[in-house]
Amino acid sequence: MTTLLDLVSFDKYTYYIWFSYFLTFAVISVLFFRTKSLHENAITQLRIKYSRDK
Amino acid sequence: MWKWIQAFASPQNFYRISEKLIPWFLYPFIALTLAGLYWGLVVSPADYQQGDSVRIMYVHVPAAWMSLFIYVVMAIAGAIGLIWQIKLANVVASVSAPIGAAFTFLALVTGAVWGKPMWGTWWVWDARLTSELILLFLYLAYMSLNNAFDNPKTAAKASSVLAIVGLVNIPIIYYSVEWWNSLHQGSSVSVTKVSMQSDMFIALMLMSFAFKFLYGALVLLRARDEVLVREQNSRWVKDIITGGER
Repeated sequence: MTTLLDLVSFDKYTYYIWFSYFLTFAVISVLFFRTKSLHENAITQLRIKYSRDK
Repeated sequence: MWKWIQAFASPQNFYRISEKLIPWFLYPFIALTLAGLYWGLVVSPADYQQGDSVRIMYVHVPAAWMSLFIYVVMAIAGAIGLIWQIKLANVVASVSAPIGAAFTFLALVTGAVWGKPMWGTWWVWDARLTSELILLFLYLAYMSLNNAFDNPKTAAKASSVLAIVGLVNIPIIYYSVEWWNSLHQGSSVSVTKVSMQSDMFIALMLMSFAFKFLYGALVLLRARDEVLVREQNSRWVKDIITGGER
């Protein structure tokens, strides 16, 4: 029977493989969080501008 | 077609249409990533020479393909912005650069992690690796140049010229393994032939398309904000912001 350990273990390459996948999804997460923070900044910046213009 | 492009390229129309397009990129990205992970880590077999380390290919190769693809998109968008003065093209080019740089960084690091057990070293100064590193520097130079000017038009002109000149590096990266003796293996996938086991190819394609959809979603999300900031003196932007629409 296949255990969870068998699924996540890749012979002597386990750490190399998991590091690569972890890094990939960390970078993707950073891209999404950065996009979200840019969005918040843009909206805040514009709200301040328009409230000053009033 | 040209009429439709012109209509879509108007900042206001782009802002409205892109909101509807985002889910069409985001959900396929999630689905393809989950399928790609399952195929790459569970279904696909170990390589007869490289063993399980070949599974790094399913993130390394799509990231490397994206690094080239995004640069070409960036240069073409830059050229369109230069020639036809389409504002949206400059926006697409400028928001693509950090995403392309992130994929290039990923390709380099995952390549080094794959190289260590296969070649016995993290890095060699061979043509493929060096030209990919130059691509990362081109992305960084583009981003620096784009942020170096207060006037967005001047910034777009200068950075677009750099992107177009840097385009010469793309065929160098692609053909480097054929033109020079390289430690890096040759292409296993081309338009005319696929020299890998079918489950490996499926995993590679799933991850590759997942990254394409990810790029599409990120470009749309970032371009929407960039459009709002660049068009901040327009009435429609004011209506959106003061009306509370996010």
